[in-house]
Amino acid sequence: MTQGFFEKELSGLKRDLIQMSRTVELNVYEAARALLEARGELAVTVIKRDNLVNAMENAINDRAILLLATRQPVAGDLRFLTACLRLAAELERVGDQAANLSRRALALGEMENPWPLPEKMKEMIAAARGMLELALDSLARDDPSLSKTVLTLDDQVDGLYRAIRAEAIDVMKSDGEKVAWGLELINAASNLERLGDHATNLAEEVIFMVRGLNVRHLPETAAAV
Amino acid sequence: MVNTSAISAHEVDFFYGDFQALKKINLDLEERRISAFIGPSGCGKSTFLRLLNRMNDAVAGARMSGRVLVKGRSIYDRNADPVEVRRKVGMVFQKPNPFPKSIYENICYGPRLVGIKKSADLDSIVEKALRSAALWEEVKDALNKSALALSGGQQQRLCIARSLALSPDVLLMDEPTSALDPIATAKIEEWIKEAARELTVVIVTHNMQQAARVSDATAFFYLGELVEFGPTKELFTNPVNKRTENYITGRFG
Repeated sequence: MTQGFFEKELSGLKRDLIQMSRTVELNVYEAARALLEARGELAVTVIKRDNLVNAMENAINDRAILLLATRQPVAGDLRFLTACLRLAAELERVGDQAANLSRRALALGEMENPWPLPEKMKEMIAAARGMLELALDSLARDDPSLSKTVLTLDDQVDGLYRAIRAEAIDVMKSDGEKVAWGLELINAASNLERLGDHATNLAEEVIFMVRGLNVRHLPETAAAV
Repeated sequence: MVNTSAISAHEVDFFYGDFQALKKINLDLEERRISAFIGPSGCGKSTFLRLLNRMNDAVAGARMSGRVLVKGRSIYDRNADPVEVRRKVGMVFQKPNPFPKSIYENICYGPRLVGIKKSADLDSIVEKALRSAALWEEVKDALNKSALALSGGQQQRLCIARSLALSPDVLLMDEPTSALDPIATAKIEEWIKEAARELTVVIVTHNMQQAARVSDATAFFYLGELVEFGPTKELFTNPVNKRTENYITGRFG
């Protein structure tokens, strides 16, 4: 392979990652609408589209591994290719959370007289989507400063999860007919909480890819970004 | 363990006539570590390597300013003996260059020159050097065989043994495996990793993967300058200087 071919492969991989991130972001958006607006058809679309997300992960993995094997990359190229593997895995998991959220939407939609969704659920959806959007922006722009912002937002999402869970438990305690609803709500909130964690992981990976700084499990290192 | 400096260079300039081949080189190489010099052709890495044991003395029109210290002592002082310098700072070249003599005589040549004459002593030196170079088991029953009959990889290990026979502190290696096949290369690289427990090794290589595999620290030279020097792990995953990144990723050179 010539150097020019390698450059094209790297650019192509980056495009694939961004395409995967856009697909995942769309899935999260539509899963959220499915939940908030009780739109079962959107939920079904998201679940089907998740197969495409899985296929994208496989394709990115295959391309990245081939380049690692044949090019023995170093420095920025090495960080980019190893980041590709991890970013694709994280995006695939975000996709899974969107699909799971859609399943919660379908389950809640089938209930007779479901309790209204708490306001905090809307807040949590907005916060988690905001984290994801920032993380994916940071990836598209190779901008670790956006990633650094993402790292500061996870506590808010975690706090909202605990609040929603507490509210759901109160409802379940007060009315035994609401247990199924409460469990689906807690699961939905858990999907969003996991989504926030994956957005954090994505952001940390972008920092490593661009700056060569490992901030995973090392919050004090993030200050150096 | 605290490592001290085996070789240090201070403000070294080097000229071939009017051409400045090295510019203000400042470098500290740790004891019992493997340091690799990388850079494109003509960058000065081999010139600098040869300065470390005064091999450039014989080059007409060559001149140097600055200081080079080996274990804290300047090797370019007026009272420094270049032969003694080259004993303590041995060198192995790209093309194996065994003498047209037996294996035994190749190893003994240096020790005899420094006055060791007793057969028992020479036998001991020969065995120790060949063991250290991981060649003893292959040649112990044929020490009188011509060195030229050995394979390329064996000849290179013989040249290493020849240097080791003089108990050097430092071994300089100028592209020691570029003329060897992959298996012989792997054996030399294994030897280098083992040898660094006792010896300081400095290796010039065009093969960046080799530098990444074997060395503890790497120096990148470009157009006579030392652009970057640091732990190999860091230089190959997150170099500080953009020129280093461009070179090691193959974007120039």
